[in-house]
Amino acid sequence: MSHNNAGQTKGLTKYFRFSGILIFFAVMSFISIFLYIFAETFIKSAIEKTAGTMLGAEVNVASVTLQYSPLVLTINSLNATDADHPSYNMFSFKQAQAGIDIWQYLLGKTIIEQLNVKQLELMTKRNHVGEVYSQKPQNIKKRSVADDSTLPSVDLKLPNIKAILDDSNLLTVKAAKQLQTIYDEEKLKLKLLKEKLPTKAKLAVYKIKIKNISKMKVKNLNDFNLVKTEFDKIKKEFKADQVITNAAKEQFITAKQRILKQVGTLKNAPEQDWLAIERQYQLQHVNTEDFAHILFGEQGRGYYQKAESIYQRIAPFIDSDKEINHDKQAPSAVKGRFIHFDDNAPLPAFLIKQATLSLVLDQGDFEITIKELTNQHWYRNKASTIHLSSTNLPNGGNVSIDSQFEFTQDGHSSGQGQWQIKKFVLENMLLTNTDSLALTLTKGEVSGLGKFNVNQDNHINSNNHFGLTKASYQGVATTKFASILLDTFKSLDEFTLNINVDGTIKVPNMKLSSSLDDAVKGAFKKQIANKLSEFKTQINQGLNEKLAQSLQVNNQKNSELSDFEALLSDTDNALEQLKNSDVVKQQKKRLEDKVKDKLKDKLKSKLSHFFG
Amino acid sequence: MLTLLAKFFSALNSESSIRQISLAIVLGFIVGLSPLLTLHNVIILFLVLFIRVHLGSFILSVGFFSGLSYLLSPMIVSVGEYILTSNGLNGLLTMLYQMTLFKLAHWHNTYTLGSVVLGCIFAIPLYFFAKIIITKYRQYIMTVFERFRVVKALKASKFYRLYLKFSGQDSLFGDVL
Repeated sequence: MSHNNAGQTKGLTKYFRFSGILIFFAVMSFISIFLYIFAETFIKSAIEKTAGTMLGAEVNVASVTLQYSPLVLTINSLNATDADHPSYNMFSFKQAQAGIDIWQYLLGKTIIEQLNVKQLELMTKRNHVGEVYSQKPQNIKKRSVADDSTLPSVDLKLPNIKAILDDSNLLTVKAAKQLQTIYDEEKLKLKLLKEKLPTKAKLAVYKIKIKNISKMKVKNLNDFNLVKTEFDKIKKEFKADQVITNAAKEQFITAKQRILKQVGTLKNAPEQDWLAIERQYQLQHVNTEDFAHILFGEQGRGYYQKAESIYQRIAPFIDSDKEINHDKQAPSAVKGRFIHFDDNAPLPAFLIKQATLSLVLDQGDFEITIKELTNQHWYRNKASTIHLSSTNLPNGGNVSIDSQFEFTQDGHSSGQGQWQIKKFVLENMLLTNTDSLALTLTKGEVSGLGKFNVNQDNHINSNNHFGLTKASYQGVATTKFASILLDTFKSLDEFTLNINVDGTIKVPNMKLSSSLDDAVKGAFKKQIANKLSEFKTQINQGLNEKLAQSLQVNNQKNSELSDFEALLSDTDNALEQLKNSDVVKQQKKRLEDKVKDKLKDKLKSKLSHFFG
Repeated sequence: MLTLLAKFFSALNSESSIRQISLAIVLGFIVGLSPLLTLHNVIILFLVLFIRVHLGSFILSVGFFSGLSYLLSPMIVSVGEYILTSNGLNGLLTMLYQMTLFKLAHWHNTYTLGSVVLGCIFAIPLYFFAKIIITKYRQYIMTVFERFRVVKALKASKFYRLYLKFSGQDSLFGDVL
């Protein structure tokens, strides 16, 4: 029996190593102890490496401590280099404590019950220059210097007067040429008509003929009919000449009207030319420039690009945890990701239930409270809320921001919020630094309020109002334009600024308006008014000279037209007189008188014969 | 590393079972492909220590296939992604997801599941392939190599002394190895 048992044992040992169980537990214990001892070192290293990759620059952690029951991770003194300014930290904090749900972590989810960050600071000077691993993501486009809203680096220069006056495209020059052409055309037409007009000799012949008719002896009706026939013949000739004269008159009137119209155009041309010059050289637009946009648009773009840069770096890490509805998302290479399915007790893959951050800035201390921070809000049906409030601002200042946002399962996001600032002190804030102007707000107090709303179509709408008071500035200007701007700023101790943002989140349209615009416009107008007025006078003088020259030349031609008009008038009058001649009536009367006389004589002789 | 290689060659040249070495290589292959600290790897480690497989071959196999896994990671992740996002398997995976063990094993991770699936698919062909290679090695290559001057020179080296030491099967863990 015992022999059999020994044989069975030997058979089993051929396939199994029973001592292996002990070794297994020994190995597992060794791994556990190893992890226990080195966990903090591994986590520290992992944080430095992962955050460094996300932010593209060196991240330093002084130490990490782990408390196991409950699991609390404490990170002491973290400094994250700003990839754009390696001498500074993008952010740093003294201590961060995170209470992690270990069971959920083992199941592939990161659920942080409470996160406390103490002394969070922005843009602090580093002890040593941080190493930069990667530059700004490529798809962040930096605006070029030639951007339409950057401060002009060239001085204001008015165009060359001689060059403008020599321009053959000027309306004054064109109108003068056109007038000349019209004169020549009409002159030619009238010349042709003049040739057809009855000459003085011809009119004299007409007069002689009429005279001859009037001298004809009319003894009887036949003689009278002969007179009438002769007169009708001449009258036909009058009428033909009168038609020609009338046509010439009509042509003259048309020519005169055409010429007068062109003279009117010519007289208006200098004014039109000035308006065109104003438009062409933007002399009207110089004083309607959007100065607030030039200055604060640049700052706004800077902040936006910074935020976009950080988002671009972090986005791939956020997206890798995002749940997908099967085959929607490209696989992330090398590391893989967790894919979560419908669960009885669903939780987001990443969730910070509550976080408290104490933010320390040069302007004062702030406290930020965040609840339900995740990118999968549909699991718990709760939006992420962020509340920021100031705790220690000088001069009784106060800042508060309330906002909330949430993502939907189909990838849309929405959010809204409002903010209010009272007497927030700004010091040594660089407003612009271009080749032509470096401007710093040395001190000022800002107050304001605003709100924003992002709907599920990723459309943002935000209205913000700022008022800056007790402001003082310092700066250097290298152009006349910049000097005006700088002087205006120095003369202002307060101004308002309205910023409206509208459009999609990726390409928002920012509109800025400010009382600064009017102030700078006024100053600018005043400064350049004389220069512009002198310029206008010289241009108009040049144009009027051109006008006068043209009118003088045309005055000579005008006298020729007047002569022609006189000729027409004389001819017309002469023809009219001839036409209206009463030679036929006179002859008729003569004939009637003769007949009467004859009858009288006849009657007298008969009566004398009776009474005689 | 040198010791580990000596053990491996000692096993190849010794009378150790070809099946034990092949199985060790296959288990090392599965462990090596997937992330190190996973539940199924702990179970495989238990099996490796409990069943008589050649430990040196297992450790060397883990090392080799871990390197290979790094190179093949995009493919492994794609396989996991394909399975986990397949509409046809959604019902089954949702059911499995309700089991804590499934989540604890991280089989809802694309890398882990992809490596487990690929490991299981290629385990059997690899087992037989390893068996053939070791047999052929022992039959032909080993005797041919013995004649090479380089091999003779190697025999005078530290590596060969280690090799002899382990091929003597007189180590402290002789029965284990």
